[in-house]
Amino acid sequence: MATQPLIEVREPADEFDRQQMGALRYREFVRDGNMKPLPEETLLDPRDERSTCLLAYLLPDRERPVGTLRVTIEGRSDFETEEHIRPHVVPGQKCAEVTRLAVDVVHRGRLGPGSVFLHLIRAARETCLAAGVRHILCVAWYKSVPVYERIGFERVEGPFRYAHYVFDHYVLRLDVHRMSPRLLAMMARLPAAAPPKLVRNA
Amino acid sequence: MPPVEPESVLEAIRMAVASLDASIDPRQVVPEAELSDVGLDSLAAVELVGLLEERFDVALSEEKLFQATRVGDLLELVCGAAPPARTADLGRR
Repeated sequence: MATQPLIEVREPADEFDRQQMGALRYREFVRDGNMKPLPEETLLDPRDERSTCLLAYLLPDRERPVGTLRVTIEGRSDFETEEHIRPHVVPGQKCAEVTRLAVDVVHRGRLGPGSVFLHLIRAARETCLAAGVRHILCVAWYKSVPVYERIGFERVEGPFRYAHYVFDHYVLRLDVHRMSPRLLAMMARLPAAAPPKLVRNA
Repeated sequence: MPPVEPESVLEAIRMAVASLDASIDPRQVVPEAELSDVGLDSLAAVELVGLLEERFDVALSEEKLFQATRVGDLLELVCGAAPPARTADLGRR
């Protein structure tokens, strides 16, 4: 097994990183046909500043991310005003929302511990565990729903549609203690990563 | 450990792919096929390795798996892989 990390996951350090993140999200969402093209050709919004945004890099390149995912921890006003998420927040059980999962098409479908997706999911899980989160909520378009369900998410609402998005979406919820055992086993094999540095909105 | 035959590995890959996604035709899982063309989603690509490692009692490295782009690459990796290190084995040395 590899002892040196092949993929590094970290938060954006500066405006350059944030622009790279917005461009990656936009490029992959439009490529997948799940989003209509926008003039600005980027996908950044104010929630990014109040969330833990994760960027995956294929080392030694630390400038061009190959994947990204956003984790928003309950307790911020913008979390609570997400109309589809709000009804599924369980009182007394801290929760998080994951959004904006995008992996560069060139690096999708990598196998086992070489998976960019796996590294991002592990980092998101560690971020949530560090913040004492019990449930993770997400909104996924219909094509991604089976993947989330095999991770351990359960469908709790849908279908519905957002502006700028072409296809049906669903709300899904995961109990962090009930993730797929096979996924957890594969995560456990990854080289040790630095613990999540920031949980700005915890 | 006896050598692993490529034919049995290929058959195991086909069975694993079919178990992960019933909509994929196992006949398209041939050594020349690009893994991206087989149609596995991101999670299935993670799970496939776990299934093969269990089946053949081997451990495949992150780096080599990241470089694998064809079914044949995965087949070669499994055939040439070493069994996983075990704490009990280390303790006997």
